[in-house]
Amino acid sequence: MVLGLDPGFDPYDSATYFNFTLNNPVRLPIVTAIYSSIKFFDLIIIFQCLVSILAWVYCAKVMRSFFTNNKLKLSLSILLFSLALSSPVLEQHTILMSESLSVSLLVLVVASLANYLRNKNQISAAIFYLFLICFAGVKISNSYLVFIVIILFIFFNILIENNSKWSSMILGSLVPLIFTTFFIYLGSQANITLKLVNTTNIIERSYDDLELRQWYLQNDFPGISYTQYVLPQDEPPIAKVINSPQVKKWLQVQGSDLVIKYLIEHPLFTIFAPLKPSLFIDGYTDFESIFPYLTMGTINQNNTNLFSNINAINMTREPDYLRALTSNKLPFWSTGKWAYSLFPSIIFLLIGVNLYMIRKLKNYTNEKNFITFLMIVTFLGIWSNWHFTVNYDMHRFLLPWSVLLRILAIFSLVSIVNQISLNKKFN
Amino acid sequence: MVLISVITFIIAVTANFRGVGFIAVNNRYALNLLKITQEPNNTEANNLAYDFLAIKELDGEIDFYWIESNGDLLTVTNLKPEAVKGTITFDVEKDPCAGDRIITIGNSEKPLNLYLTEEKKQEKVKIFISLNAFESSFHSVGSPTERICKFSNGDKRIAIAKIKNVKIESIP
Repeated sequence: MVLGLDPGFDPYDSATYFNFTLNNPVRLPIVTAIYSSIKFFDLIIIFQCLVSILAWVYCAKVMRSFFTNNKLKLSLSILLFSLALSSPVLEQHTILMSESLSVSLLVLVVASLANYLRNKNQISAAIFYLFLICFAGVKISNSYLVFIVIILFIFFNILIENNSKWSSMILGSLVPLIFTTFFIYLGSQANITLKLVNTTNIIERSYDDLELRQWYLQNDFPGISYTQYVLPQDEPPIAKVINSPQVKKWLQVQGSDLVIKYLIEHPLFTIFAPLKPSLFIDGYTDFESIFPYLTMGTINQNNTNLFSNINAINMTREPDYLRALTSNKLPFWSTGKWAYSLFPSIIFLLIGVNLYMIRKLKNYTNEKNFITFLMIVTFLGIWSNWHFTVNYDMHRFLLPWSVLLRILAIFSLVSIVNQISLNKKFN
Repeated sequence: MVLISVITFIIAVTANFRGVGFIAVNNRYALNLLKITQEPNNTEANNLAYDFLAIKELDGEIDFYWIESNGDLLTVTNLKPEAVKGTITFDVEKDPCAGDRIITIGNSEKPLNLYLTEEKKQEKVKIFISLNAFESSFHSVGSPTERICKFSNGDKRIAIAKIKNVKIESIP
């Protein structure tokens, strides 16, 4: 439907996706290698769709193997494919950003983890690591997260493996750790984007909170950035902030470290603020918690030009089919306020009930490990993204983790039905 | 993990989604929705902020700034959407090397010259501030560079002065 449509083009941002370089890159090499090789917008859409199809088919195939009942296998496949075809996931494939590949590669990571837990051989582990490396290489935030995930995976293996296999696992983990460290190194060269996001984040979160603002000011955050951010202007507010000499100097010497420093010094904020920000930030409500973003899954909610895009090359308006897409959100996504509590509640309830039901069943050890490990990864992904992104862009950053939560909820639902049906049979 | 899921479930169920969600700060400025967060009868100027280009350092429990030979820019900013008056006070200490030092603070209209010597190494400075809503005032800090003072510990900066005990107060 969107083939042939010229994409919106940002003179600075868009070009960076096509510039493959390992010397001071702005984007990580996996995404720039793919985009610069394919070059054409329409072909990139097709490529992203193909990767997505491959990912979801592989995911359904592997996850089906946890069950023996054919009806449940079919139900699982239908539910997973429906999620894959829901509009928040679909619309990412038609955008030149890292989100489509992030979601698809995360689905491949999930599938390959399930495959590894089923087979427990070196090839399965290698495939899992391969997809983790690819996932780390599309986005800077992914690379940091994958580094932690690999460490977690090593400990997880040591805990679940009773034999000596874990020593070879540690050795095998060195390869993805080296790749991921390399991506982190490249990302640190390109951290100007991260610093801009963090600066906006600090202003947006501390503007109304006297105590929070004082903390940042006492830690050398430039006070003038607050006024530069709000004063009338015809350019994005952050541009005026970073053009002031005080902020330029601050970005050179401190930059993003301040957000991390705050999180370390305030562990209660770090843990509970994403769930209940109103307890920690004056002026914030439950709308700013993770729940609305996990429920909506869409992008650019604040964009008032819902059905058109401005093309920065020829300054003409073009139809934006993506934001006009309202189809196929239910039963997985909703923008209604009524759903902000309901959707996340159902998701966490399904996963929690399933984990509780299988906690002592030996036949379900792999399933339990699969869900537990991915839940830890999901919480890490959601929490880190909530702390480091700005509210009006959080839909996009939380989307891969929202998708992962739904995959786990679907899997848990089918698993619960499976156990109930088995209990009935035996009774 | 079950417990974490249950806690998250409970918080999600009890969350309150009535009213209005997030509005970016600059959008609230445009809609005239910004409020004043200054506590009443508090002379500590929470809505006045100051910046030096130099990074803040810590000596024991005292914050200080090394001012380098290329000078610095003291910026005082009114964070309130209404006019404010106040003062900023701080101590200016001579560089650690032997010899006198002239430090000039302010702008071309009202420069303040401090003559710091071996006998009088430190002087207190008080600057009155009167700023309109969201306005900033800028005060240069500099010194003639005929005498170069380098640190002996390998720090490559060339210092002209140390600024410490910065205090900012609003006048009701």
